[in-house]
Amino acid sequence: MRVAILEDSVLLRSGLAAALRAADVDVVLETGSSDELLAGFENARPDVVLLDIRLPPDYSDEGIVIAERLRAQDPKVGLLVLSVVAESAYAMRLLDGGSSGVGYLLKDSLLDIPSLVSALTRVMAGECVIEPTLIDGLIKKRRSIQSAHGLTEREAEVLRLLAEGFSNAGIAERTGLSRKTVEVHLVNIFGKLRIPTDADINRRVTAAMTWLRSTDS
Amino acid sequence: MRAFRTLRGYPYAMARTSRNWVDKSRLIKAGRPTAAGWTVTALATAVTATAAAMLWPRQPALSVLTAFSIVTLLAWIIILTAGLRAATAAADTVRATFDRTVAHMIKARKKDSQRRKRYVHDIAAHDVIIVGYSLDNAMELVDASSEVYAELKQTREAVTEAIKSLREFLADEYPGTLDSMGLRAAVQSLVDRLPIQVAVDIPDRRFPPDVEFNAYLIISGALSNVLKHAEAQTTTVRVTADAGAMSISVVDNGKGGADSNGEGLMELQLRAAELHGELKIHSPIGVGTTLEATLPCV
Repeated sequence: MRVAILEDSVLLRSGLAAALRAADVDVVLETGSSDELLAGFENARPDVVLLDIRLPPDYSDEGIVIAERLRAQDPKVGLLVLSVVAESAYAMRLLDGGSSGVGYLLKDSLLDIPSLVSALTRVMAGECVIEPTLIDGLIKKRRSIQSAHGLTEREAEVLRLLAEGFSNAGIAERTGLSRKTVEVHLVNIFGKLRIPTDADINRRVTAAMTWLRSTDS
Repeated sequence: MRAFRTLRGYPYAMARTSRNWVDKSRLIKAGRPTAAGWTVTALATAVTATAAAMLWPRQPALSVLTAFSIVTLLAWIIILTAGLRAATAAADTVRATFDRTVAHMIKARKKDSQRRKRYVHDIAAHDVIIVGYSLDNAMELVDASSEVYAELKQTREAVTEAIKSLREFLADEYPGTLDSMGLRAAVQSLVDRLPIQVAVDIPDRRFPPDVEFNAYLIISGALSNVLKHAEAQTTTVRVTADAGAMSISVVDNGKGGADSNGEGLMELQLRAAELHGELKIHSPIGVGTTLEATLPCV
């Protein structure tokens, strides 16, 4: 897997690159300048670009803008955007541009290299990765007003993994259920959430997130 | 006579009290009677003099008294209007200075928040992550069963906690989403991080930056109070904008009894007052709390 890193802090950038290389990831481009990344992007041909949301000059949300520009340049490149605070509006904005091969995680994930590599792999495979703690918070709240419509424990678990961006196979693996069972649960969940059952994997992430963020019952 | 002197000195008294802020000469000019005022006075004096002259042969005392009274009355009218003009000019200047100061203050508030964010997010948090990497490397170099390894592992866990603490600190700072995506996105993102159920009804449009910032501070302050004290089932944040004013309401069905003289609420009232708005709170015990604010000029 070829990864490009866009991160302003020099020490962090080199520490991260070293840690990824130690985990057998090919870091093909590492820079703190968005111009340098956009310029070197074609030559480096990364599978995934890992970038901080806060970059110079303003340190506000340049990362999302760069992600959108990279996607315009190459729709197939994976994008994993990191942020210290989970802002669901940024996650939705990233998903708006198409949730395939896009991820939004907390910077904490830099501390857990194996899990970061796994997220990078999923993004490279065209999946979507949404920060679990963000989903967790939303699900907990939603369930407290959900009792009338009754999502079962199992269905809530499946919904959580769906909102985090996992494919049916990924959900099956993490819950220990068979794929068939997962599919059955999904049909029930889609019915309760009123998501059309033919929604492709990535549109369903957006639909799940939208449902989780709303407070209508 | 003393009253006459006081009135006459009125515009100059205004200049004296506003000494630090107001251009005295400008104020005095504003207080000076206008050309029209002088013309009216001259005409009236001429009329009075003529009337007095006509009366003089028959009733000298009466004519003098009439002339004197009318001239005094006119003088008072001119001085009062001059004083009023001066007071209005002074009030306008004070208000303009206030607005300028507030704009500067809001800008400084935002800059300070962004500076703190930059330090914590881009420097401190990164340093902490680098410490984590060093610990990972160190753990690779020692025997996993050794005491050293156990110590390193504990330290490594502390690093994860440190990042969480830094994140909690940052959550109160100026949100990145406010500048780029507006009030609704910022409030929705805030609400999505809170462990309480909050319905958000905010129009998807932009407002002037200072209004958005203060509105965000009011809403996040109100929600922080709900989180800390209210024990509410449902909370609703509603923003509407019409007739050049933004109305904010944060309603919860918790236990009520909020202290409107409390420091937290006074802070929120200041946020409204800065922009010439108002904030009030209605919090009957056992029923819930309604916080309402208006911010003009949207």
